[in-house]
Parts: sequence; structure tokens; C-alpha cells
Amino acid sequence: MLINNGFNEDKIQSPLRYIWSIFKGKSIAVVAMWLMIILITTSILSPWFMPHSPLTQDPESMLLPPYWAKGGNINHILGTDDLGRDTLSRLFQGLQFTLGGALTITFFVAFLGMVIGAGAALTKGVKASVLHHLLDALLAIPSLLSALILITIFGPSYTNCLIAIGLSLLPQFIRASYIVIEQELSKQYIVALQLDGATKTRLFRYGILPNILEPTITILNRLFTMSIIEIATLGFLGFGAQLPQTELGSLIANSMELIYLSPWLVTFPGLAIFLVIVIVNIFAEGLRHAVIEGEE
Amino acid sequence: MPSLLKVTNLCKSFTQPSGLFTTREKVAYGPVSFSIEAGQTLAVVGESGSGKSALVRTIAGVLKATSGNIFIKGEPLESLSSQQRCLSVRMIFQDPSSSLNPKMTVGKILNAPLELNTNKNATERHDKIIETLKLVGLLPDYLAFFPNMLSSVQKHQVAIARAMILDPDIILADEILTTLDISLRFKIVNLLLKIQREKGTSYIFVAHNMHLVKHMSDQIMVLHQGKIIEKGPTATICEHPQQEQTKYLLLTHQPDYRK
Amino acid sequence: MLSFLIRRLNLLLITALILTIIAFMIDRTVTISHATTTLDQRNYIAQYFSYLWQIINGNFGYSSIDQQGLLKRGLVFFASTLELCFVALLFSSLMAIPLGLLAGLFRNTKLDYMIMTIAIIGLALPVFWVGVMAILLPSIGGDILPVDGNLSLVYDIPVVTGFLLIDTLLVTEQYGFFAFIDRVAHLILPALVLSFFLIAEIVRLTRHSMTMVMRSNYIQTAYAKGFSRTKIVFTHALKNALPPIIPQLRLQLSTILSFAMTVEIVFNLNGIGKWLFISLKSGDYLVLPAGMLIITGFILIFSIATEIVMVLISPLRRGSLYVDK
Repeated sequence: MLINNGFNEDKIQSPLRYIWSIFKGKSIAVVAMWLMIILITTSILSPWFMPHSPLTQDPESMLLPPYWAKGGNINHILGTDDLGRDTLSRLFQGLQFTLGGALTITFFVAFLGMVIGAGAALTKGVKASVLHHLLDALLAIPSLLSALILITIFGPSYTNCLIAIGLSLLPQFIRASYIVIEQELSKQYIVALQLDGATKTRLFRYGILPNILEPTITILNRLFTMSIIEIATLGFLGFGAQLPQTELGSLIANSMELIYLSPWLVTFPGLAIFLVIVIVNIFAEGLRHAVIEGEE
Repeated sequence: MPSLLKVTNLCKSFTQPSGLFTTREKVAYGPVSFSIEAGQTLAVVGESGSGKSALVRTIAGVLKATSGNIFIKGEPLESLSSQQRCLSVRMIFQDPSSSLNPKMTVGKILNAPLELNTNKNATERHDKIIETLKLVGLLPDYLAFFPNMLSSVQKHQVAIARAMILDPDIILADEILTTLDISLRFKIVNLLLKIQREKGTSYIFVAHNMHLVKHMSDQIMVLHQGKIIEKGPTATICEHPQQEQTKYLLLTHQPDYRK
Repeated sequence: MLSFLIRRLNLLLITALILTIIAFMIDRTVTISHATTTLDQRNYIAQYFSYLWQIINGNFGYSSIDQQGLLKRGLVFFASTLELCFVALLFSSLMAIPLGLLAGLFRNTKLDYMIMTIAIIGLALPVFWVGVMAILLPSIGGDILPVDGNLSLVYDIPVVTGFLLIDTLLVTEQYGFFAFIDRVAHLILPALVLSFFLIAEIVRLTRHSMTMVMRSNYIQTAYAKGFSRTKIVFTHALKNALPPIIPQLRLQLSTILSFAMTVEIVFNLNGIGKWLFISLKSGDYLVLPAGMLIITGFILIFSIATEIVMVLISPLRRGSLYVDK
């Protein structure tokens, strides 16, 4: 128990806990968070509970519309494609590839970009200046083009597509995290910590990292959005996942010839991409606002 | 016995690009030479832009001097490790609301210099932190507080505690009193004087208010455009200023001038 | 001013040099792995300098399919891409800047939430899918807008500037304004699709900039002076809120071009994206370094140009004429 209890609290909340308590009050963001968790778990677990395998072909029911449309079948809730494969199962499999790929890319690029960005911000001189000129050059290449170049060199496959997108998004992320860390470095408490003789790792861990939460969330959100869109775009162009892997973008590309026969097949994967991005964006925005309110 | 801190021909200049490939040197201060003994207080005064802050920051190690030497107890500063340097010279920053990490508790803020610069174990560190908090007049409760929960004067106390926790010989203070209002300012001034009596610490401080300078300091050094134009015991300088600039500085705090 | 210009150009040259090195590396990797030409036996540095000399002379290599010079073809295709981007930018600025200003002015009201919802939706829609859906749309509502290629095949337009909007105006003696109208009709849908993303981006930037301006002290002072809200917004706020958007948008240029390339492939427009895509599919890998140099060259020159314009129009930035940072 505190002797001088000016705040009427038994225990003092840490900033993270405080931010969490604010976040819990934002109902839309909390809903988005639960939706995100449900999406990730269902897309991972879908092979176990989906009634149809995404690869089983069924000549009896081909090109079925969704069950609410005329001629639909309750067995295939979102209908089937030209080979009689269940659209919902294929959507979940596509989601597994797209979402999983985007999460992997976000994780690796965030880690690498933070390390390189922090390294560039904490070192001065020739090394940093070389890195800057290289970044300037790399940032001038549109990410789709650099992904195309890398895929041409590696050869098209799902893994190569992930590597290529990761590498093409890396310069943007390095530059963004560099700017954020550079701004943080000029703060007085960082100078004070440096004067205490703190090592660079310690400086980064205790001085910089806790204070750059808000911009980091924005950057990560953008990174995730961009990587989902790029994975789908490359899949759509045929440079990403190869058959029989079904990634959401390639799902759209494969149904392109059927666009007039069964527009559903093109509509659903696009809607799935859209929903995933919207959910993640709402969650990230809510989190960011909670951080801002918590810091005031 | 060499003096506690001796500065000889210290000089700092910044380079700015002026033409295409040429750079221009802008002298912040220097060359300056002075020395200070244990338990003494040196006040650095001067108009804004005269290089006082840069001088203090150089001694603290934030900036690197262009030329000249700093000796602490006869040892050149470059030969000391950063630990030895921290144990003898500590700095209090201008604005404690920005010099305390908002995401760390007071306990952790005070723990960091001990952990980095001494070989004390956890319990010894804890005892030292409690002792230092008592020295600056704070309850041990404040260990678990975050800086944004403290009032501005409490933040100042924590900042002083952070400087004092290693029992340094010299404390550098860069205009720490300007952000406080007048009654709280004297609380901090009295605290600093009490610490000096108990620990025998030397202060080098930058200030604007000549009344405070008169009250606190033993020596005054007047900087003008980076050069020392006048230096001497406080009483002498305040009674018989030799230079125009010093006279102006003193004049600004005359009661009849303020009317 | 002169020394500022020269220093900027210096940076431009260094970046351009690094880009040619990257292009050279791509060129070598592609030729080695696909062995389309006989391999050069000299060491890499000598090879690089001869490559650089070729680039400076405007020789970007020849297409392995029809032996055409890559630079000239690439530039013609790129002009069409730029046209698309320009029309989309014009359209989305007209839509998004007023929306963003409104959202910034009425921050945290229902109006703001509505506008920001539109912005989030715009960012989240995958551009190629919107393209596909837009192709589907006319087939439902009747063929109002064409969705195939740059121009109807009946028109034979000589390439003068590469910008079809201008070229079609140059042949009015032959076709009247029909060619021009046909070109505009072909551009509307792709430009609309591309503006989805652009509108979202510009709304966010404008809103942020407007909020920052409305919070600043000089706006408070203007209120204290007793000016009406309308007058403050139009005389003080707009002037300060709009210029900062330009450099922010410039940073998005490469993303915009990425999306434009995707849109071209979907709509079958003859732009640089379609060109690269078709060439890659048919095994002509040498277009990659050429296309990269054309696009990045444009981005570099454009960034320098915006920077100079910013210095000219904004007094805050004029400081950088005299000192670096």
C-alpha cells in the first residue's frame, strides 16, 4: 500500500496496460480484433472442418451460384467453380496462402527493417551515407516492378513471390523506421541515456522502442496492407502461387474466362481480400488511437 | 594537488555547407580556459547565443570539442572511460519533462546509471536509490511512478536524483531553473545548496537570473560571442563589473530598471 | 539558388549512377540465366562501363523478339501510362481535396467518419479486382464505355509526342474530334479505377494537413481578431494546408505507378506495365532493365522538379536554398 496515494489506485498501471484498457473501450476496434483472430484461426483450421476439400471435383454440380441465388445448393454455400470445386473451401485455402504470406512478410520485413533502420540511425558517417544513397535509388523503383524483376530472376513460385515482395517492400520500411528512430534520437532522455554509457542495444530496447509505438503501428499496418495487395496482384498476373495452390489473386485470374458465366467466382475472392484489409485497418486504427490517448 | 576540473583552450565550431563544395566554420565558443575547485560553484552567464549551453554540453560529453583539453583531477578527459567520466561529471538537463523517459518508472530511470556504471548488486542499487530519493526529498513511493504522474517540481527532483545517484564531483546544470515559477524555483535552489553542503559537490550552472547567480555562485564567468570577457569571484564582478556586457546583464535585474 | 540546384543535381547523378549499376546487374543476371546473347568475357567493371556508355548514348538494348530499340518503344508506352496517371490524378484531386478539407475542418463529426470510411474502403480495395469488376459493369449496363486498349483500331494515329490525347488532337483534319473523344472514352474507366486508391490517399493527407493547420496558433489569432470562419478557412488555412500535400504525394508516386501498371494489364491498355508483362510472358527479359531505367528516371526527374517548385512557392522551404537542413 502506498503512503501517499494521490491517484486512488492500489497499483500503478504500466503504460501498456493503460493503453490496453483504453483499447478495450473502443468497441469497433475490439470487434475487428476478434474478427481478425477468427479469420486467422479458421483459415488455418479450415481443412479439418470444411465439408468439402478445395480440390475435390464434382461433375454433378458445376458452376453453382451461391445458395441464396436461383439454382443454388445449400451443400455449397458460396457455389462451385467450373470443375465443381466448392468456392468456400477454395476461398479459405486462398486466404491461408494470402493471409499467411502477408503475415510472414510483415514479420520478417518488420524485423529486418527495424534492425537496418536502427543501425543506420545509430551510426554516422560513410556506412550510413552509402545506405542512404542506395535507399534513394531503390525507393525510386515501384514495388511491383522490383517484385517482377526479382521473380524473373528467381523463377515464379509461391515462396519466391513472398521473397520478392518482402525484398521489394524492405526499402520503404527501412526508410520509414529510420525516420521514426532518427526523430526519437534527438529527444533529451535518449541523450541522457547515452551519457550514462548505455550500449546501443539497451538504448534501442529501453529508450527508443517503447516510445515509437504509434508510428510503428501505422507503418506495420501499411506494410501488411501493401503485402496483401502485392501477393494478390502477383498471383493475379500469374507470377505468384502456381497451380494447384490457390491464392486469392490467382483464384480471380483462373475465373476470368468465366466472368460472364458466373461472376460470383470473381466477386468472392476480391471481397475476401477487401474484408481482410478493412478489418486489419480498423484494428490498427483503433490501436493507434488508444496509444495516442494513452500517451496524452 | 591539481584542481578538480581544468579546461584549457577549449574550442568548438560547427561546419555548415556554404558553397558547392566549401564549408564554413561557425565558432560556437572558444578558446576558453578556466578551472574549478571542489565544493565551488561556477556560474556561466551571458546573452543568448553566447555559447554557454554548448560549453556545458561539451564538458558533459554530449558534444565533442574541436580543440583544447579538459582535465579532471589532473587526468585528461579522453583517457577516462565513460564509466569514470559518469562517476565524476553528471549533467542535469534543461527541461526534465523531456529528459525523463515517459515509458519508464522513476525507479528504472534511477536504476539505469547505477547498473551501467557501478558494480553494485540489485539490493545495493535499491538501497542507493532510496537513499538518493531521500536526499532530494521524495518518498520511496515514487519509485513506481511514471514521469507523467509527477508535478514539474517533482520531475526536477527526480532529474537531480538521477545526477546525484553516482555521487559525482561535478554537476552541470543547463538553465534548469527557467521553467519553474518563482516559489518552486527557490525550493530547488535550496535543495541544490543543501546537497552541496552535505556532499561537497561542485556546480557549473548556466543561468539568466542575476539574483540567483549572486545567491548561489562563488565564481562568475561572463561569455560574450564565445569568448570569456570577464571572470572572477561573484562579489567582485557584481560590485565592480569591468565590461559593458556584464553591466548590461546586471542592469536587467536592477529593481529600478524593471519599472 | 545556383548552388542549391547544382547540389540537388549532384544527388540526382549519384542516385542515377546507382540505378544504372542495378540495371546492369539485372541485365547480366537475366542474360546469364537465360543465355539469350553470347556472353561477354571481359571483367564486370569493363562491362559495366561499356553498358553505361550505351545507356548515355540512348541505347537501351534491342528487343529479342522484333529487334526494335527498347528506349523508343518504352518511352511511347510510358507516355500512355503517364497520361493515365495524370487523368486519374486530376480526377481524384478534384474529388478528394474538398472531401479531405471538409473532414479536417469537421474533425470527429459524423461527416468526418463518413469521409474516412470512404478513404479506408478506397485503400483496402485491390486495384486489379476493381478493374475486373469495372469490366464486368458495362456488360451489365450496356456498352457505354470501351474497355479494350488505348484507342479503337479504326483510327491510325502517327506517334508525335507519344501522349495520345495530344496526338489525336493533331489529326483533327483527318478524323475530326472523334479520335480524341474515343481516346477520352477509353481512358475514363481505367482512370476511375486508379483514382480509388488515389482518392483515399489524398483525402488522408489533406485531412491531416488541414487538422494541423487549424490547430496552429495563427488560426487561433485569426479567430481572436474576429474574422469569420469562412474567411479564415479561405484566406489563411487553405494557403497553408495545401502545399505540404505535394511532397507527400510525390513519395507515393512509385506506388501510384505500380497500381497504374496493374490497371493497364487488366484493361489491356498499351502502357509500360502491359509492355513489361507481355514481354516477360514471351521471354524478352531485356525489357526489365530498360523499363526500370525509364520509370526510375522519370521518378527522379519528377522529384527534383517538385522540390524546386516547392522551394519556389513555399517560403518555409526557401530556407533550404541557403543551408542544408
